[in-house]
Amino acid sequence: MSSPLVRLPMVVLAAVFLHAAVFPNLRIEGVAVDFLLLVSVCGGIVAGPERGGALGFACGLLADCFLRTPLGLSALAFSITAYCVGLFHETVLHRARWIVVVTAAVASALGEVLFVVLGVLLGQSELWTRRVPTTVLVVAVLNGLLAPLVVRLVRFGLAEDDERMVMMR
Amino acid sequence: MLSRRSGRRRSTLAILVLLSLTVVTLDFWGGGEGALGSVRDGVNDVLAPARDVVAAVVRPIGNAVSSFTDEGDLRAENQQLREKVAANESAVAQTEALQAQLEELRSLLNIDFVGDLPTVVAQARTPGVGNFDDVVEIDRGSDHGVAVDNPVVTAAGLVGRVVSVSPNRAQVKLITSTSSGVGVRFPTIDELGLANGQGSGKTLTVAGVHKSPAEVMAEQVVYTSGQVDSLFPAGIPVGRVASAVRSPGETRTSVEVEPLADLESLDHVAVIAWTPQPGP
Repeated sequence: MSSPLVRLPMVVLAAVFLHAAVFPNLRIEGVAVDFLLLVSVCGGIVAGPERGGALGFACGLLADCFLRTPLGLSALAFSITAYCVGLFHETVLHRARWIVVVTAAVASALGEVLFVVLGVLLGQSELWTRRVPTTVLVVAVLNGLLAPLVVRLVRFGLAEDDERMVMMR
Repeated sequence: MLSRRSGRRRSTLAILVLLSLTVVTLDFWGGGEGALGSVRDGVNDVLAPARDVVAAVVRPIGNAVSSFTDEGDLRAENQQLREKVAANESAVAQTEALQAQLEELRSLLNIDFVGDLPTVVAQARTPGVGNFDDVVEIDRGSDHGVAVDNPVVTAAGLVGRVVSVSPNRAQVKLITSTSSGVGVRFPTIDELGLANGQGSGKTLTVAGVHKSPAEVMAEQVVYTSGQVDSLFPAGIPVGRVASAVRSPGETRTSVEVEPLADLESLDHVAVIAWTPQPGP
């Protein structure tokens, strides 16, 4: 497992499993962690706008496989969200853990809203329901709480060998 | 240097957006079928067995989490649960469960209100993955004759309708979904209405009923109306009238309907091989 080309797909596959098999069974107010959105956001935090955006695109495409909305809708929302998170996080000089939590929470909320808005623009009007505020709020809180762990996971997946040795120490 | 980097970044974003929109466009053109549809179905079917196993293990934990966050009188619920446990202690659990399952399957094979329409019996497996849709997945798909828009019922009444199908799985949108609407008929007062979902675990709402609350409350069960362009055939029991209210100054009654099917703990369901008939 020396190369990110091997580690990253394994991290993404693990994320897909958690997203599709585990978290849908653990809901609060009927809402589950949007784990692939969280991985995308953490990609932006860890790797910046370009690599984060690309990771967001891949995660979004995989998330779309489990939804009835058009294939590519989550890819669009997640890649834009991760890209913006990457841009924002570069301006943050103080890298405290709470900043990661707040960034992930706010970005997850914006990512969910972006998904709904883009969906409505693409003709998926049934996405706009009374449940949207609750869903956005719960996803923001849950994703924010999980963010420190997922940042480590994504960093492991993306790190080059020398970086990984430093990270693991 | 800086402007070159920001230019490259903008290009990256533009490429990602274009790629996404291309995929969306291809999916629209293919109508969810074709190569992209096959990829989607394949990913779903490959993960389905793992999802079933994990759901069986994790769902009790999820139910425990939900019970902490649910509204209502927890003490009363606790008392109810104690009573249920006491009642169940005297039973031979496994035999009873098997017996009940057998009865459920028998009842699903002989549902009166389905009439002569063919059905496919399926088991509800996992909740849907997304957060914006109240769906449940069943373990039968197009290979078993299930098609999009097929109504899904239990012996008690309407559950929902099939909204997507892969060869071995199908997603059923529940009637409680906030984006769901069922045309209903109040048989004795001879009135029609639209029962809208209000979210998981909640009642359906029928707004704009002409009759007075007292007249509506006399109604026991509402049924699917089966009007032209209706998503469901006529005569399927939907729910029981739970309340009927008319605000001061209003001329119409708002009715709450409790679904007859136990949507919170679905096990076996019957998919009716019926699709909506387009109007003239």
